[in-house]
Amino acid sequence: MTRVSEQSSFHAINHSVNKTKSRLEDLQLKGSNLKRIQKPSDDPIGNTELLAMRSQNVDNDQFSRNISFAKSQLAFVENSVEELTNIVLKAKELAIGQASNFYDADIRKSVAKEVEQLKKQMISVGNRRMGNKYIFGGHKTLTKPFNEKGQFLGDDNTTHVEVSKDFFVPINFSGREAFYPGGLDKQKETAPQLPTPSNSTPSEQTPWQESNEPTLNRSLASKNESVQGERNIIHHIQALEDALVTNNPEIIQSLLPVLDKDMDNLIQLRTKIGSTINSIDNASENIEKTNLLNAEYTSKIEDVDVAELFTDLARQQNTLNATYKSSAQLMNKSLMDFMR
Amino acid sequence: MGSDLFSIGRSGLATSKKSMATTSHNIANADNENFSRQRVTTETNAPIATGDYVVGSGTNIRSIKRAHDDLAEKKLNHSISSHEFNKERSHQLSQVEEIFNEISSEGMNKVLNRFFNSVRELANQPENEVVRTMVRDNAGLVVKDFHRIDDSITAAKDGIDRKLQKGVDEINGAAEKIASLNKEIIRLENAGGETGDLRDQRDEATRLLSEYFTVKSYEDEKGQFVVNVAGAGSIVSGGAVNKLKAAKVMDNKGTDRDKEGKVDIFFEANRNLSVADNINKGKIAALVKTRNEDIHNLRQQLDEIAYGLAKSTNAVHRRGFANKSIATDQNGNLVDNGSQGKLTGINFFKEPASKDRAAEYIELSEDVKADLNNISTGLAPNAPGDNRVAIAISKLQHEKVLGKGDQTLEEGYLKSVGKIGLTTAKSKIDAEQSSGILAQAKSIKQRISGVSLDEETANLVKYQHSYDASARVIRAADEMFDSVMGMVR
Repeated sequence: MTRVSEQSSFHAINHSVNKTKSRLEDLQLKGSNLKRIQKPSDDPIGNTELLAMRSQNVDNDQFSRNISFAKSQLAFVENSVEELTNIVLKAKELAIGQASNFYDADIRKSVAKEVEQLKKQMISVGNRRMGNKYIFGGHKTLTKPFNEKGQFLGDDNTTHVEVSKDFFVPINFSGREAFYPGGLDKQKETAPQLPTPSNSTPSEQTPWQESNEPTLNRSLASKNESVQGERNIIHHIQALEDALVTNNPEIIQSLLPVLDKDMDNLIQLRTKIGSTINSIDNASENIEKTNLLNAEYTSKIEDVDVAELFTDLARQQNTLNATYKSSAQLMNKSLMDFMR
Repeated sequence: MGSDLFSIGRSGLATSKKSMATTSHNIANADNENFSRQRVTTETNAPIATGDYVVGSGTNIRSIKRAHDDLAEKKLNHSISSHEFNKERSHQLSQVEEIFNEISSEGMNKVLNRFFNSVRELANQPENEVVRTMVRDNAGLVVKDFHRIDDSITAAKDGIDRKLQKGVDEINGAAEKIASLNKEIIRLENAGGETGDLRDQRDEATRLLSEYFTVKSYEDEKGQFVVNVAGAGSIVSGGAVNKLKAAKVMDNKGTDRDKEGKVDIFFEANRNLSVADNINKGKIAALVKTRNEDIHNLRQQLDEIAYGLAKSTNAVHRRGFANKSIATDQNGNLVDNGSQGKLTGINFFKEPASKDRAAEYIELSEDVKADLNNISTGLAPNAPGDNRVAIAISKLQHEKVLGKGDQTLEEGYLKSVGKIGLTTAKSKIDAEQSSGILAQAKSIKQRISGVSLDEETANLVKYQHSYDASARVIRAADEMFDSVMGMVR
């Protein structure tokens, strides 16, 4: 037989009531906001997964913003390139008409006026801005890339935007690429050359250990216009205009293949823009898919199973009631009651 | 013969009365957790030989003993030490954990992520002043959150230091009490007095000590009661107290931060030898472990993250050029006449001097604070549309820049959060478990020593009956005496 003292039964009651009550409180808290995790220790692993997932979601939101930004930029660039194509087409039509000896100097002069208009139109497209940015200026987005003589003043750089993790797309094309057929001799990089150690520097070097001064890359070299002598579409049209004024059908004739080449270049550029937009759409779809998966997983980690929670809650409540009842039985009875 | 009856009756009366007094004492103390019920043990008086017969001569009280089991008491003390350790540790860790709780609020992970995404936005529009402001504001929030976490950790550490000091005061108080009770008990026992209540008090004080550390107590061969701090040394032996002392010490071999001092514990008699790390279980060990291990590690990891962020961001940012029109000669080299301030090589954060305290000292650089255009986005001068530096900074989010280049900032931070979460969860489970064990130990002790009112009620009735019976014996003797007297008349 075990001896039962007042204190031992008191402790037993206290312990069991407290235990049930603290469980109930915990469930209550979960029930109040339907979150399974209230603090990191509730599910340490789940908590860190949750945080990682959340930052991935924020990243994806930013990538989505980048995507719409890139798309609007590219659409605008594409429009401009299309316009350029039309202008070149028009110029070519005029040139074909005037390449023969059929017309005389007077007519050629009036056609020259028309060509001059085309040239001006071309320069204005070249100096087109989206917002406050010149779209054909390379990285020199705040200064006019073309002067009235059609000279290119921008640089060769392309601005890239990250549309999903580690996937960069160009959102503008330098005036050199659009206006100079074969002007950018190098194969365009698909990702920007970044000043990080990620793929260029040896991996044992951490980014902050290299203290070498920034080396100015080739973008700067274009500043002094080493290719200044090279001629662009504007110059070609200028040449057409000059030839019309001087009434020189041979030159006009010789300009035809040049304009063809210009046209090819522009069409190539448009294809490139089109495929870029396609790849952006793919990235966008991927992000949406990831978001969906993440949302599902997040909910699995942080949301309570409502049915389970409420059965648990009911069960704990029953346990508490039972504890109360049995405690009352134990506490209210005493030998004194039977000794009168 | 008659006088025999009288004295036997009187001895019965006295014993029953004393037993009832003891029972009343038990009932009165039924609610005192530290009370051990007491029992009167009686023995027969020395029998008297009259002629051929040996006749009993009544009863007397041998002693009043408390119901006590030394083993149960020691087990209880041990469970108290274990439970207090787990409870205090889980209590402290829950506070620390709360610093890193961003389930439903903003935290480092969120602001850090937002900072990188604002830089990403800046990469879209490097020309845009508003986005630049956003980047600076978000970087400011990151800095602020580093400071918040660092301050909170410091506050937690200071709280532990204060608690250690207060705890040691309480320990010394209990030790003094034990010492004075030791003297009193020996004095009373030598005089043949009862010491049950005093021993209860001494056990209570020993239990209080058990809350702070594992107690080893015993009576030595001379009957001196000795209390040891397990693993460290004796704190009470007989009437002498070897006090503990808690004080800030300057540690010259530790890190810089420790030089400012942390509270250490040692015996007053030997101030050179710290015992803080030797104490196991109990609140003291919990506090010391939480401070020296968990908080210390967290702080180091936080510093590492702050250092990694500032260093790597700076390294990339320094290579960019300020958003200003910069004069160049015809070869593209900078012509720096110094009139425009810094043009390149600008730090984004204040360059941290060392990893130690990086989280405390992290701050935006003066250049960035002073002028938004000092936030460099381009790798080339005079290129407002150049976003390569901005992209490179935003890529640092996924770059393994921590430690030996094996962790990203987020991974490092989440590792810390995960670790503190795991440790806290474990300490909570431990505390729940040890509270069960403690409840069991308490109930074992109470079963042995605790007062049962039912039992006492029954005893009371029993003793009352004995008293009545003894009274009857005296009356009978009285009547007999009267009869004899009547014969004479």
